[in-house]
Amino acid sequence: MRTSILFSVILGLFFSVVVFAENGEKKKKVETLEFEVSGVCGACEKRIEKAALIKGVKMAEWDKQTQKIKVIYSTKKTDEKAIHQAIAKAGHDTKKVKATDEAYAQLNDCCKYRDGVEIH
Amino acid sequence: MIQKGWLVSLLLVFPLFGLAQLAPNMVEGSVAERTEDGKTAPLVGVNVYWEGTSIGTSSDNTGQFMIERTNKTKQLVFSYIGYRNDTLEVNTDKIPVVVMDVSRELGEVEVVHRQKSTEISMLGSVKVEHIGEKELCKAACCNLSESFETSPSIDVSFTDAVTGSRQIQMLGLAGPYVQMTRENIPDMRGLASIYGLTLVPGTWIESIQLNKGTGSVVNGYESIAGQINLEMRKPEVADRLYLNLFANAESRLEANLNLAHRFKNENWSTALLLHGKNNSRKFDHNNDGFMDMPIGSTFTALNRWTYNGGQGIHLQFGVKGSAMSSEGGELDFQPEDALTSNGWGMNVDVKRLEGWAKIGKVFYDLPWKSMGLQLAATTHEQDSYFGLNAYHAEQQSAYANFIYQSIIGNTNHEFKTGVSLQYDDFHETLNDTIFNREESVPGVFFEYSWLPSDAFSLVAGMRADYHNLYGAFLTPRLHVRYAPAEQTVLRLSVGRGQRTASVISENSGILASSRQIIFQGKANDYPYGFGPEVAWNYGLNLTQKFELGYRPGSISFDFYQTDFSSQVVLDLDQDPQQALFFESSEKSYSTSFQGQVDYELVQRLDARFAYRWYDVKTTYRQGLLAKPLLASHRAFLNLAYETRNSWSFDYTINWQGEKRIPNTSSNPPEFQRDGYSPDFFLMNAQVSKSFSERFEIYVGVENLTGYKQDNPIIASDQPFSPYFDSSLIWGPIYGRKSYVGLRFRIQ
Repeated sequence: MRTSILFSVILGLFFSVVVFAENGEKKKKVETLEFEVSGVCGACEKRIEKAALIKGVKMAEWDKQTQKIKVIYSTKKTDEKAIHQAIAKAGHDTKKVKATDEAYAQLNDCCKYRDGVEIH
Repeated sequence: MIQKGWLVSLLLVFPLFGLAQLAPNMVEGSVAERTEDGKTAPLVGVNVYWEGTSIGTSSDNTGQFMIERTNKTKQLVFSYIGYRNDTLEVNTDKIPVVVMDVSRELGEVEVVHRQKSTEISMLGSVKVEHIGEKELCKAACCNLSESFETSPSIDVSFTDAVTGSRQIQMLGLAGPYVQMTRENIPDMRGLASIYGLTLVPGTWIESIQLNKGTGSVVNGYESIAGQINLEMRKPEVADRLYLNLFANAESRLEANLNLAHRFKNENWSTALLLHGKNNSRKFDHNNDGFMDMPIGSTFTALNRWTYNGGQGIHLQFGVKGSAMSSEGGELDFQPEDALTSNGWGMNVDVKRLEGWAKIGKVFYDLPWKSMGLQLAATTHEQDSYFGLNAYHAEQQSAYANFIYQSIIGNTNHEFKTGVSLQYDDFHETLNDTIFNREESVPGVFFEYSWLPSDAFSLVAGMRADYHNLYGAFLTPRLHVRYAPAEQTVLRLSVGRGQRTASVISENSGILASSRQIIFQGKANDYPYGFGPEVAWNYGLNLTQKFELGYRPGSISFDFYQTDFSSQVVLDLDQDPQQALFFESSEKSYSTSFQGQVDYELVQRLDARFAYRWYDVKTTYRQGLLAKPLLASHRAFLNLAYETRNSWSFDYTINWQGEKRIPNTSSNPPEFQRDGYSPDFFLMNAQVSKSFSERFEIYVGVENLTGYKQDNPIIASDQPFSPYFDSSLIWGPIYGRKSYVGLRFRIQ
């Protein structure tokens, strides 16, 4: 008997979690962005994606062939500018924000896209 | 006769489907290069393939190409020596001209890797051995129980010397401790745990994913030793026609016909898979008066449909029907003498019907989010006798699983959650005893994946289920992956598993003996009077990839420990005239270690060497003893060579150490067996030649040296004496067997 009560409680909790998650996502406004980011390799990809995942960004995927990043974010928590800045801060130029020379200098030699390193 | 009828129907279906084929779901386009004057010119022979797949084509002399769609990816890759690879996301049937850029690095050569037949993924949190079609073609591979011959992680053995059925073992634990799933829906449970394997033809299988140790909570609470998932041929990508014919020297005949159809301009596709097998000649090579293999036939058919709708809706459903009938026992046994002592005979009739459906929804604007519902229903009936033992069993099962997948914050934190229901209704009659049980288990689960970096990931899952007989229980599971270097992966897993033992069907080999079957259960409502089987599994493994002489290889070490906190034990040692079942919470464990090296020794010669060691012990009535009929040591070598002109050679040698034989010392001297079996070698070889992409022939030999277990049946001349026992099988029961087969496909 006690176990079945426990079980119903767990079941109830579970449903409220699902319903909560659903509602939560509907209230937030979610936007998708796609813009160019310079980079040349797998290490760049990791760095760019990691940098883009600031608070409010749900997903970030960069493709080295197209040089494009796809970002999905919540407009309540962050904005386009902040994402560009975060990526530039990691040393990668975006379409709107250029990385500072200091930030660029931090990159590994294999990632120096400004110095003629090819996509590899 | 049956076989002829089957062939006729096959011939009738064949042309119908062949003609009904219209242009399937294709993508067309063209490739070009930029000439010096700035114009474009067609590029001939560019490799065009779907990223991460082996589905590909090349551009023709006008630069044009056509490629079949796959549901696996939309990324189409263009590659050409001296040019930069290009990847394109394809959403339409016709794509614009792709202009390829010349690579500025001179002499850049695209390295085309041969696809490996078995692949161990470096990325997932769970170590999964992916056995592809290429591996499955290495063995004669007539059905699932035979398709693990080239996998060192699985041991395959005969259950007894008369029924010809084989069982698999993982980590030294019997097959039922391995959770079998068909496209992630639990399958082959309960009554089907042994015969179910023979009802899955090898040619129906697209790939097998095998993981040792605890599984994901999403698929239920039952996996203890590991999980085997089968991916069947998919209508969206399967060959339009695939025919396989097989015959062996002992007149075993098999035919498999797979047909797939993709409807024009529609989102529907369908596949029809047919299998027929017949064994009609009786053989007794060891002259013990018993057939070495039963005669009989098996028919199975599967029809499945998939629908890829707009708005991310994906629907699929299918049905599978199987009928198996086999007869064995003494050569001169007449079916009229069934269940009498006029002759010892065996007959097993199995009928099984399965239906399933999956409904899924993905969100294109929120790619991390999806919902899915899996439904399945099965009815299984077995009618059988083994000498004087009559066994009739029926099982009805239903399964539902709803999975919701999303993220917490960002894609570094993923979760899956859902509810499930497993329902089983069993009716078994063994001689005059009736065993009925009804199990109904609703449950909820939550699985969290943390993926902070490429070097580390963690999957933690928890289930809460409520079993109508055994009450509520929790199933926690954890997988951790750590990659200290790009080529090195270390994985750890811990988890609990629980299951209800269907003790008779899982140990049906003992029915083919004079042993008295005793259930020392409690007088309660539990199945057979036994509680659930509960075990914890701990695993640690290391996979290291390497490159030596420009050829890739991998080396891996696995260590797994399974500890039973309660188990239903089959004791064959107490008394050679008894098979004793009792529930035990005494010490019972399995420790296993496996080392494996895969390497391309010279160009196109792949070698796989493995060694594994088991320490599997259970507390029997006599005390803690090694699990009988299981080798502690096993070594394995597989060599596969492929020539440039499409000949392939495959050779497997397997060494199995000594196995403990249950105690027979109280039998009269002529019916006693040694305490341990000898160790032995087994060899298989196969040669195949493909004449074109469509046509392939293979010839092979199983058990090359013809090594056999002497006198596999105790007291075969007195089958109704109390000493008769055909279940103490430690080695092959028949000698060398050669076979020949062909594969024909239209893509």
